[in-house]
Amino acid sequence: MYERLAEIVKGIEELERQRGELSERLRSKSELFPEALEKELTKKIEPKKLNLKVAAVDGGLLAQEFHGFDLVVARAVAVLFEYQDSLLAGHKYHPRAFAEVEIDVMSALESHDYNWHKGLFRLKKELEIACEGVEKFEPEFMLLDGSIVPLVSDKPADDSPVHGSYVQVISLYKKLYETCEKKGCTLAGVIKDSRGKRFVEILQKKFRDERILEKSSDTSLIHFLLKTGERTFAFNYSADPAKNQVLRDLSEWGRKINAFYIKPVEKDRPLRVEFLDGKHSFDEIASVIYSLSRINKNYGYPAVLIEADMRAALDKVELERAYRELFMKLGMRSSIMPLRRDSRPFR
Amino acid sequence: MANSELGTVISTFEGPTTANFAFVISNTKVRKGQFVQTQTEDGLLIGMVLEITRANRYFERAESVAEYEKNSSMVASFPTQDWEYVIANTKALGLFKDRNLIRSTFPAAPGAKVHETDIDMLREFLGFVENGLNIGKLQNHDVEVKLPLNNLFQKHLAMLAMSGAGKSYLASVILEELLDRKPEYGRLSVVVVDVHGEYLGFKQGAYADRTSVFDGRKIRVGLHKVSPQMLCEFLPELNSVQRREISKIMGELRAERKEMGTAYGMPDLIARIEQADMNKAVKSSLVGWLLELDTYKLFGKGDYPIMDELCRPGRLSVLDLSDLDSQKKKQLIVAYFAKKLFRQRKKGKIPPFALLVEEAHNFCREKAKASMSISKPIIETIAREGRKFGASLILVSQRPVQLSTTALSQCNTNIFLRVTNPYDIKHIAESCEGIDFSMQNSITSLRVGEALIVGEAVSHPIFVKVRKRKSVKSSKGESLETLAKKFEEMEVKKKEDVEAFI
Repeated sequence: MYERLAEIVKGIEELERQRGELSERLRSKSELFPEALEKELTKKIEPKKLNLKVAAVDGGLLAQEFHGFDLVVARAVAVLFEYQDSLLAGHKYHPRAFAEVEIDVMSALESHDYNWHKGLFRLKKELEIACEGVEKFEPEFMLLDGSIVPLVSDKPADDSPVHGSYVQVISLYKKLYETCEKKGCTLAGVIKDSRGKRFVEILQKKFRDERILEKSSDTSLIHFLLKTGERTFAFNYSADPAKNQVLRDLSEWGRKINAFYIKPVEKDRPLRVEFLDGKHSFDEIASVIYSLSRINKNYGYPAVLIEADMRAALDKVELERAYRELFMKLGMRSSIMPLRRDSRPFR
Repeated sequence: MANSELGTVISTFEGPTTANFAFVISNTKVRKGQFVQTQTEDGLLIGMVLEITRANRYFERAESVAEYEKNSSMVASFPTQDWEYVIANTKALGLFKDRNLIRSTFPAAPGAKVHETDIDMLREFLGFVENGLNIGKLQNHDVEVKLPLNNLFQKHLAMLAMSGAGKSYLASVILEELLDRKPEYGRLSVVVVDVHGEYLGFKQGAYADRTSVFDGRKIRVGLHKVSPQMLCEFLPELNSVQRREISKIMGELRAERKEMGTAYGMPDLIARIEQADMNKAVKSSLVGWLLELDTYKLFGKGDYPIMDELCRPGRLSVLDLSDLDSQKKKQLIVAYFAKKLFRQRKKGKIPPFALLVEEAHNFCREKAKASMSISKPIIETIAREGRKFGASLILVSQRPVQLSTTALSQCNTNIFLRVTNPYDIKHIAESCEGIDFSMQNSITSLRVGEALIVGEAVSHPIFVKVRKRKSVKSSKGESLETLAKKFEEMEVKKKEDVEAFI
């Protein structure tokens, strides 16, 4: 095992060395990249004195399988931070600081349908709350925890019993885009741990021989490429939205989804930022996200999203409470029996 | 309910149970030690706040707080104040029903509102009475602590605290209350064994007319009133032969002098022993012991003070031992007068009394040589039997660990001021009923003038802010600074006088 570990360590070191070297080379050249929406590979971000309203939405979800049904509890919360001279001057919540959880039960789902259902149920909650938050708070920015489009993995098969939920989610995304556009609000998704490869793919089109690109995700490379306070060029979410499985469901909105990466703090990795093309320029968006995120050199993430995450997080107790309520009303019957793997006699 | 709302009962892993409940505080008036009430299905549940916990999720991780604070205050970046919550962990004391406290058999309901306790009910619940001894204010409440005389003294009182915590101050307050008591409520006679002269101030000011001070140097024990058995207790070193011989001679001398109608003193007893026909070694030892006793200049032909002077209802007698150096002499005085008080009280010849013993660990030590335990047996006897005869003890000590466990355990009311010595704390916990872990901790953090009362006098342990004394503070209790200043002033005056004279 130790030999294998040594090999792995060596391999990782080598990958990082190559990414570092490539990044240096890339920074020294002034190439134009096809599909990049800007000329420069990297750009310095100007920090901004914050005098604005920023909202954020996050959701929490817990689920448990039972013999006869699958139980899901979720909630989403919108938080509004009002900044004056970059200091938090006020804050509000929607629907409230401690939002009630919503319970959902589905039965006879295949395992993969169950996974889709969970994700879609939470997305639905988050999108509903985001729409309401934009209407109610009228913020300059609405930040989502994660992407502003559904992931391909969120899309169930056409014949799945949960496909209807996906259709609802798509419809809610469109509604959110429309609401943001109508209210002059920039919708942005901040992705903590992106596995995206779109940026690398853009580079590959120019540097076909760089093998290290094949072995890199966007953030693993950009960590070496960007210096603190910089961002990459902006790019479209997809090279061909019409062919993208998800973007095509979003019809014309699919073409308006852009992204870039920023490195807000010294000791944290880059953040992927996705945004709906609209009122604010790339630089303005980057400035705001950067200014919101650079308050802890070890953890570059907007404070408003941290608050939303804490408000939305669910304790296991919530799930137990929902189960107890069901149990009290149903009594012990086969449907409510826990799975065998959750009720082993000795562990 | 008119009393202001303090919070809401919450459901936790630990409760609510019939013994405890916790509530989230909505009113910053809540304090540790405060009594609260909440309505249950069975009636009004009274509780006492044992501990208060303040929490905020934003400040749980030190490294994150440190990092965020480097840029600007966390408050400027996050709505931290919204995340703060305060939990009061409360002991359920019982239900107050028909003016009685009954055990709680059903817990408070999660979600139930918690209120301030009704003041009148609190007085009744804690057993305060209108004609009780007012020793101060109940902490966190605007309620005077008026303790019933019976409950406070009948089964004895111990006041334990480290030096400088306010024992003598509180004792003075209690003495004032005893002296101010009206005859119709029943008055005790109070005798104080004052080893530091801390109660001499009673001879001045408002209590001067009710106070007698007896200078320890002038106190005398009438030898003819000392029984042979008592004398043997004063001389525990005597062996059985010596005891037998001295008892015989004292018996003869006593009978002889009774017939003559005269008293005898130590020289008379020594002379009689020297004349007696007994083993030479025994004789010489007895004479030696008695000569040693005589060096204390304590034994004479009559008692001073006499019992009628010492013990009168509503009066204070201070045995001022502050100028005595010999601990043995102090013990002899305490042993003799305590015995006499108890015996006379048993016969109903003197009024019920309270004997306050300052530095009680020096008079009733748990572990000590026989020669230094002369007063211990009678103090323990009063502690055990005094209740039946109206003989009460007030033991005041700064070293509870050295105080007789027998005496301490018989004190059914304990008043603690600040104690920090871990051995003393352990001893207190072992000797005193009704002290739980949280109270042990509280004793170490009491401030000067704060006291914890536990036991018979109160139906539940209470924290008290001791009231201001009315009596004059003794000059012997003056601060080091004042004493030093006075000394130097005196020296300057002496020098000036000498110069003026020359």
